[in-house]
Amino acid sequence: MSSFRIGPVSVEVLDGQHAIAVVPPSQWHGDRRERPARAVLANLKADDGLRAQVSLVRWDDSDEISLGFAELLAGPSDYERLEDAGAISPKLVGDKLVARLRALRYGKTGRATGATVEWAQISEWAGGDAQALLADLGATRTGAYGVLLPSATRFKTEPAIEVPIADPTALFAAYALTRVVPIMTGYGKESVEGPNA
Amino acid sequence: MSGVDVSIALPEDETPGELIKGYFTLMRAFGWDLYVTSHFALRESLGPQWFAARISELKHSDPKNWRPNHRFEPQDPGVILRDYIHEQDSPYLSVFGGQFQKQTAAKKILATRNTWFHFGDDPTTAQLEEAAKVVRGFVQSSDMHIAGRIDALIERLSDLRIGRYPADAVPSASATVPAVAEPAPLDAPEDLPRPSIGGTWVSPIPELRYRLTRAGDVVHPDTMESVRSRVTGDFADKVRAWTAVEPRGRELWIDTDGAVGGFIGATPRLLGYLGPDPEGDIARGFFTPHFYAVDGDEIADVDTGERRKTPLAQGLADGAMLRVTTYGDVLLVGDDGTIERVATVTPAEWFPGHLG
Repeated sequence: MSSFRIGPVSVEVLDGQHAIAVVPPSQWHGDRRERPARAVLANLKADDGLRAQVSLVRWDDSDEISLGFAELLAGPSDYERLEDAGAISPKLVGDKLVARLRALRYGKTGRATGATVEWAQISEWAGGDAQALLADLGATRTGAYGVLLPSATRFKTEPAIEVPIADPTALFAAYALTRVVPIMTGYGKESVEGPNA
Repeated sequence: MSGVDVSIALPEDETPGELIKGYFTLMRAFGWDLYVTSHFALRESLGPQWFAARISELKHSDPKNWRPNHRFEPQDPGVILRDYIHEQDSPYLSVFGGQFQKQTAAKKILATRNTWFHFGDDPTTAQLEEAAKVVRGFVQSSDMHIAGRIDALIERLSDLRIGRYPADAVPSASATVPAVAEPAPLDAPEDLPRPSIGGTWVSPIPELRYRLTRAGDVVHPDTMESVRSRVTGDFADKVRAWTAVEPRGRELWIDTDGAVGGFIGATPRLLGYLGPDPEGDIARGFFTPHFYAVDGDEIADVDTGERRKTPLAQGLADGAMLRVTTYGDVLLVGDDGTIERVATVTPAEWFPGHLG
């Protein structure tokens, strides 16, 4: 088990792969059938009471890979949004995973959805140079999506991360920074912590 | 202290369903009261596990009447009454006394049950009132706890018989349902032994709730540590057995003795143990919805006709009815409603999909 803290979030990546049955994102609007898969699990904790387990899932019969599927065990109810939003869908390139990073951001509807984000913002959440921190956690490369995945035709300038499939620890850190912290801090809300009236 | 449900439902009218509702809850409350009263009386001289010890003694000394593979529940009034009536060395003689009248009352209570559930005649209000009065007499003279509840039932039955209930035959907009005070459950002693796996949890429920995760783990809600290291035997097997019927909210509690519980619907239930299961538990968990019949050296699912060859069919009579629990206990169901374990199977050894 590898444990680390990134920004305000503690992450424990559990050893080994775990059998699991979940609906792949490609079927969320399809047959919505659970399919057998293997998952790397990580526990996320924060001082606000958050206790969640997230999974990096690879389905047995396809190349589809997805990080998300938060199971909220405890914590403020706004984290429930992680149960149905904020999945990261990396591409498998050889023995690496390449993921474009967006961040959950609250919009006018009051719901957090994926939005483009800059490295500077991610670093602010990390409390330091995010790219350096992710490299320390095993990311093989970070940078622009178009550089990490030359075949990309869109979103080429957005932030992206590459990790070895054998050690995806840094990908969980990216999830904590771009999913958990935005909800914790109310990213995008017009007035998060107003003064007492 | 925590409680067992000894509420007695009051019939709304004289139809068989309403009367049976009253009868069933009367006997359930009486069964718990017999057990708890005996427990208070016997635990000091015989130890808190006195009931299990007594059953094992009976199975040993009289296996014909107390079949070793049968399941005897302490709160089934038939079990304690049968011992009380028929066994000369019954510990219940010291609890309830050996007076002729009391023994006769016990016999009458058993006989009522036997007649009603053979469906010869519909139950009548007068019969239920008579049964309630016999139980009331037994309870009263034994310093038991549910006399007040039985009085309410007797009063309702008498009101039904003479037409005093329902009071207002003409429905009106202002008619309100009379407030029935929900009686507090009977306080159960804290050292009441565990029920069989699947039975109602009667001791205090620990506050801490462990969570069942999608990956099949059971974790502490705060540290998120797995209970895996505290489990004896195969962890995945244990978790499957505990959660074959999903506990509500995917939440479990674990008591200091390693007993695992959870809510199934509104009822707290014992779902298993971190350690080995007690040997006397012959029908662990919950019945699956399937019924099977023995046919030669095969077993057939009586609904689907699906068949399976299995060594356990040999030695069982053709046509014998079997059921299986979520734990994989295979039970022979007798015509008289008794059950006997004939095997314990794993999901791989049984009909595909039947054991989850």
